[in-house]
Amino acid sequence: MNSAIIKESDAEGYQSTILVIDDDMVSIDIISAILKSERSYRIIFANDGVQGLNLHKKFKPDLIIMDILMEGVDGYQTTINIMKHSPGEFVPVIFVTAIRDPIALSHCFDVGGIDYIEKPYNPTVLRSKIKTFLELKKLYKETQAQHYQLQEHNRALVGNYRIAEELFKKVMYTEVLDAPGFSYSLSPIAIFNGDILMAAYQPSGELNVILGDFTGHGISAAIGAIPVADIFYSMTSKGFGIADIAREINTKLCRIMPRGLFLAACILSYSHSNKTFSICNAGIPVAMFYSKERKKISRQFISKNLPLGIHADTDYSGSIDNRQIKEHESIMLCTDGVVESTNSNKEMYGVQRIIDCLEKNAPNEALPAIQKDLDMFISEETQKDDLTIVEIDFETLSNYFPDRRIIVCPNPIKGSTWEMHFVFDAVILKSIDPLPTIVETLMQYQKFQLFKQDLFIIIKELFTNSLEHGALQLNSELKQQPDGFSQYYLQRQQRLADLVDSEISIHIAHTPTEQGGVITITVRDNGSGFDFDKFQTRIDDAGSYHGRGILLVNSLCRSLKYSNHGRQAQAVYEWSVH
Amino acid sequence: MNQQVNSSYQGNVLTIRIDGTFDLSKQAAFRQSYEMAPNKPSSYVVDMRTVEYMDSAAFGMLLVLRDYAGGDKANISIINMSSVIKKSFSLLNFDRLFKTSK
Repeated sequence: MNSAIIKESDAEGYQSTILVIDDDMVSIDIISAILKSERSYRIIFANDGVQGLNLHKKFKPDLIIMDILMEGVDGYQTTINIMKHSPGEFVPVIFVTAIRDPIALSHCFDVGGIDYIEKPYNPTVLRSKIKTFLELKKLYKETQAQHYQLQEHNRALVGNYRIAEELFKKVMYTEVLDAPGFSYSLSPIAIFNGDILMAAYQPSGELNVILGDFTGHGISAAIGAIPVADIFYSMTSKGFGIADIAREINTKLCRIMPRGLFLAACILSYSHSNKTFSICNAGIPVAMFYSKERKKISRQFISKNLPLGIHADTDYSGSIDNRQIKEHESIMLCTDGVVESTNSNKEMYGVQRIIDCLEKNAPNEALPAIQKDLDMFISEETQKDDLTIVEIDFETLSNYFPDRRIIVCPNPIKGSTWEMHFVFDAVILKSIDPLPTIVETLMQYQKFQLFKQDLFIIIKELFTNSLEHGALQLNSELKQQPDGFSQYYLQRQQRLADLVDSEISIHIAHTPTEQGGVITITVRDNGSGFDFDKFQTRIDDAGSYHGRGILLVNSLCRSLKYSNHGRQAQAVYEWSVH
Repeated sequence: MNQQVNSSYQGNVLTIRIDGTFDLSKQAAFRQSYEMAPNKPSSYVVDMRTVEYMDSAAFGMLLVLRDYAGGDKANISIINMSSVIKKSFSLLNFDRLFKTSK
């Protein structure tokens, strides 16, 4: 009697396997008879504890019916042995016994049994109990399978997330973010950040920065970051300003993003040479200037426009704030996650607490102070949104010289002879900035990437002068007055909108030399000219805010000459590969 | 418990009332509230009298409604906003897209 007995009739089409371990043949026959009509069971019998354990290992039954008193290894010990071989599994064991002693019965449960049935068997009770526990086991199996599936799914998801996260980081990051003077803290609530922060230098040396906050968090929020990064970096490297970048990102997001996803963003630009700052705030709650010396907020820039990606027709050029940077000033930016963080009393952190932090703490500890204060405020509450705080200290950043992103051209094209002539009327001047395209075109012809920055600065400064002083007749002295700077830009905007009959021409001629070439840039306008002598003197006055651009051009060029009452400027620039 | 978005249709105006926090959890209910309307209303009113907080996803949901209601031709009023929500509206300049008189 050492082999297992499998009820042949039920060996096929069964749904559950029941193992009966009993050394009493009569008992086995009774159970067999009671369960005879249950076609969905496969029943396996073992005559002792050792065989029982082996059959359990072999058949993995759904339910075990166990006799307590057996020769050799008894029911308790067999149960203990089976449990030991099935860690983490649910093995329902029902004991069958003639014992009535409560202590002995309670021992059934101690060793891992789920129930007991008294002998002699009541067929109805036996069938009901078996049915109930098999259902329990089935439920358990289903839950296990789901749990396993979920785990697998999660593992795959996390794996994919990690890859995407790596990609995301590479797309977003440039070393400018680690420049001295640039501090930031990002704390995403998901692996992916719904907040984005990027910074890059234009060829003219101006720094462009974007801080954005996508609707929602995680992957849906991060997905939009890739086109944004693409546009931001490529347009910045070509020298586009913030209004153009904002427009382009807006158009792109409107086209590709599902309705309901948008980007609250703040795009800013800082010129080290002119100490000027422009900002386009479209939905960022905190963007403010802070004077480190006086420990005071010197200016807040409120959001003046719709976030990006909502309305394709939004005009961002009209809502740009310009400012002259004073000494010891830095800018502080925070996303709404910071402002809307709530404490246990459902109070919001708000803007005032940020201001208090800035005004109370030592200048160089402003950002960590806000973080600490916010942590204390939130305390036990969970973070609901991505939190990003950025501080740009312009003075420190001034000492950082940007990587010019030199692209070494393996086969530099030998200098050649060519000329280009562009003429722009008022319609063009009002609507687009033609310079990035011009400079990009130059790069295509001569491949002097090494000199791109210089050329950009020269063309830009001459063009800007022609536009602002020639065509728009703006007076730079306005910038010297308190608040004059923003007035200057307001006037610029108004006059540009009213502009008719104006024309600016840019003529670029190149002649080759032994090691490179000479490039002559002539910018002419049809305005009424300006007091050129006075302008020349002002060029020499390095202390004033305006005219610095021209001073810079002068230092880059072999010569810079104004003629025709200031209507024409001619710069001669020499480049050489040695 | 989940009946936190209620809508009523009267004289060609669909009024949607939101209760509690207006965030992603209300997405399906909010969408249903106007998609299930028997006739397409000529104007919409979103009543926020008990909403204390709405997140950016909720602003996104309003944009979806705006598209559904005709985009730039949509006639949607947001009423009974708390001061905090009013601030968020002006931060995002959403008052250009929705009527926020009350």
